[in-house]
Amino acid sequence: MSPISNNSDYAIYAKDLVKMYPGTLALNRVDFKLKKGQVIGLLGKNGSGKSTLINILAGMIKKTAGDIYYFGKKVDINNVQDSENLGFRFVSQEPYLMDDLSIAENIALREKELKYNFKSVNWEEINKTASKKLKRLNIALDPTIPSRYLKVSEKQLILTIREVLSTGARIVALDEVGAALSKYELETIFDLIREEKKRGMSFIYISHEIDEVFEICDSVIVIRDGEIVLEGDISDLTSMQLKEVIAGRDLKDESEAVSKKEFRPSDVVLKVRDLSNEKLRDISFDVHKGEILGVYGLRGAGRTELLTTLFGLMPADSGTVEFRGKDVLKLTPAERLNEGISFVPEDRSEGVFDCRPIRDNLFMSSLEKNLCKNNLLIDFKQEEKKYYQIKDEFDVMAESIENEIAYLSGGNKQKIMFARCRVAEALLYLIDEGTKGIDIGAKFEIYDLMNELASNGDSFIYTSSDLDEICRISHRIMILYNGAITAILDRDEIRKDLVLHYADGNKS
Amino acid sequence: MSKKFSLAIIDNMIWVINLILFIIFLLIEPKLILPKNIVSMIYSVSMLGFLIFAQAIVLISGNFDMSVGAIAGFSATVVAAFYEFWFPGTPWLILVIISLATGTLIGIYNGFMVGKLNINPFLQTLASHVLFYGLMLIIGGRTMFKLPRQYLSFGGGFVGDSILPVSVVALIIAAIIIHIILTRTTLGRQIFAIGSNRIAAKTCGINVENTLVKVFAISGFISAVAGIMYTGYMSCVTMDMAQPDLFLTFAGAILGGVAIAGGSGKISGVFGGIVFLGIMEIGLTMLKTRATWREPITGIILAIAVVLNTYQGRLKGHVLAKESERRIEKERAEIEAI
Repeated sequence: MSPISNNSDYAIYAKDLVKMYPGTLALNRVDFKLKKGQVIGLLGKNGSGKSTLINILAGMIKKTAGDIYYFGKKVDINNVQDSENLGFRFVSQEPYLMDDLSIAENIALREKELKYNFKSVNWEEINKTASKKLKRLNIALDPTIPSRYLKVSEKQLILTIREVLSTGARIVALDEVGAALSKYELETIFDLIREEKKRGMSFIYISHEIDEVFEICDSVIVIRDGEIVLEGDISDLTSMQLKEVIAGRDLKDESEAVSKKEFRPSDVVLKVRDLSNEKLRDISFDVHKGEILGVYGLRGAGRTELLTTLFGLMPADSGTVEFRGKDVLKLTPAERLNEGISFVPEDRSEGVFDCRPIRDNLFMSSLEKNLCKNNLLIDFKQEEKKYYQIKDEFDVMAESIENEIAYLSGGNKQKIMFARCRVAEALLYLIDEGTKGIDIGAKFEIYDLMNELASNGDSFIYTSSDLDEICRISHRIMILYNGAITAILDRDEIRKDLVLHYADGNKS
Repeated sequence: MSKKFSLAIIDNMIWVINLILFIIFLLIEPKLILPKNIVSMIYSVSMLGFLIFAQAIVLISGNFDMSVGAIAGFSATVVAAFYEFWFPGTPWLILVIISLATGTLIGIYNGFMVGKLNINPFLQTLASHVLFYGLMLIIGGRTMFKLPRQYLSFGGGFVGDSILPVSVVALIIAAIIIHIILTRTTLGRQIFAIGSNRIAAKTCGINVENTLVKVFAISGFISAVAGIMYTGYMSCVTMDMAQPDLFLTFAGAILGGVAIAGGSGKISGVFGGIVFLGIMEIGLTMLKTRATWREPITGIILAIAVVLNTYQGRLKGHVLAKESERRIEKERAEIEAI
């Protein structure tokens, strides 16, 4: 049995793959096998190593050690071009299209003749090919409109079609495409996958949603801490088993870890009425003292926009926002911070000052609270005192307040951003995806922190694209679709299928 | 070498370079050690030093200021025109105030365009550079000598009967004040924040637009101080005042460890950058370098500055990552062993 004949059944066979970063071992001797015409589900928590694996296959990062075989042939993947030439396509979860180009042009970007030749462009053909591809999936969009006018879900559809139907595609990796799509749209993609599968195309399907995986995948691989912990046919597994393996701990423990404190609505802290702007439509809701209000919705539903509007970074066209009885809609972000509204953005690169020390990062929204008696200079001693308190309370792993924050782990950076709101004496925390890309241990520490702060009377508006997470930590869940509220569920009404039902745009 | 020591060396690299350079020149010309020579080393770059501080603050905020030289020249020309043409006999103190006000106003104008109207800082300040050197020719038109003695004493005078020039003392005082503003005040923290990550600065409630206006206003103010110093040093206002020094303002700041991308830098480093240029100046004069060689040597200094700037951060990251790397290597060895 020679290794070559053994490997040739596989579209991809990656052997003993190792990837090391300074400080972490992202992949630890991973064996990844993908058969021709197979749909494999790639599962794992954020930071487990699944993106590292895909990025190596796509040529975005280089492996540290190991061998990769494509269709039985050993290959060297040094850049994206190499993996593309081998027939590997990647559909990212952020649907990047060229905003100023039309749908047809965006689709045509993947066609070889256009990419490498200087011959004149045949616009008619480009538009015709694009509309043929759109028609095949029953998508009623004019291929000549610029893609900036598309909704996020439509962009995701176009991107998927472009990659799957491009010439020479033999293996397609789909990264959480479901997160931005409605059920109906996702079904369209699934139909496409099923059809192309019959022709021998292979798929890697990355997802957090177990139900999607059961619907479309033939087999699954679960990665945890850079190692494959489960490999098998989907028919041999139950969803409970899968979830347990992904989390790496008993799920019963998890639900207990989060306090089930009864929350009784008392004083209204935030009162939003008919809030509208270019991304939001007639948003009305209340937040109570000590409440964690979860906000759920598909990508592009307006979660981030709701928070940035409440913080004052995005202008509101109409409506009222009352915070503790005071109209705050006309206030600047700095003034809202003084009133007690704090914001933690989704992307850490939008919240962290990488080349600045922890001191600057921690106190940037509360500089005026640490001035000396002369009201001119910053009191370093007072800052240090607060830092040591926070370090204990939030369990931050850091050597010194003067260390640059760039050298902290993602979880610790996230804690510093939470702590920044805390030292600014926030009463209402607006948190966009508070646990994105941090390890599971840090996640639970953050849940505990939030619960503790909430039981002390602080309020939270918390968005997440992780359905499990939002159902677990929220006192109530508000569901957005296309910039409007479709439902607000009370604690005893929270059910995952119900949340998904409203997230697809169905009204109650 | 301990981690702390290597980090200290990397953070203060320019002073290490200064020391080495000084020793080299000392070996060639032992008289360099005389206090008189050391003072004149800094004196020769003290006017430029103010411009470098002005540039450094703007660079830290993540912007450029191509107009620092033009502001120095223009504000000096306004003062000279005031004294010679418009209101002869104006007291020197009023002249100082006029100079500083002119510089600050031009700075506010730059800051308004960059901060509020979102004009690219490079283009905006380049336009100001051309505009104000042009206006100088209209207002002055020739080298202007007629100025009160007290006004000239800032850049040309000495403290009491000592060998200490006023401008050197002023530069050191300015360095201390700017250092305190940058590290100990809310404004200073916000300048670093904007340079480091403008979006994050907004999520922290910082008014980025207003802060940028302040940054350019401070830069304009310091540039006007430089204009007063240049005037005194040369005892006149020339129509190309500070023009050849524009690129050296970048070199000095960058050599001093100010990140060209913004967000990091410290005044002790920038002062080191100024001293470096002083040592070069004295050294080249001492070696009787021909004037034609000055330009290419400036170019080489700029190139070195950029390389240092790029690798300083990486070197630091390397030192900090070394420990964790060692741990990984160990893990790796264990994996290999299995």
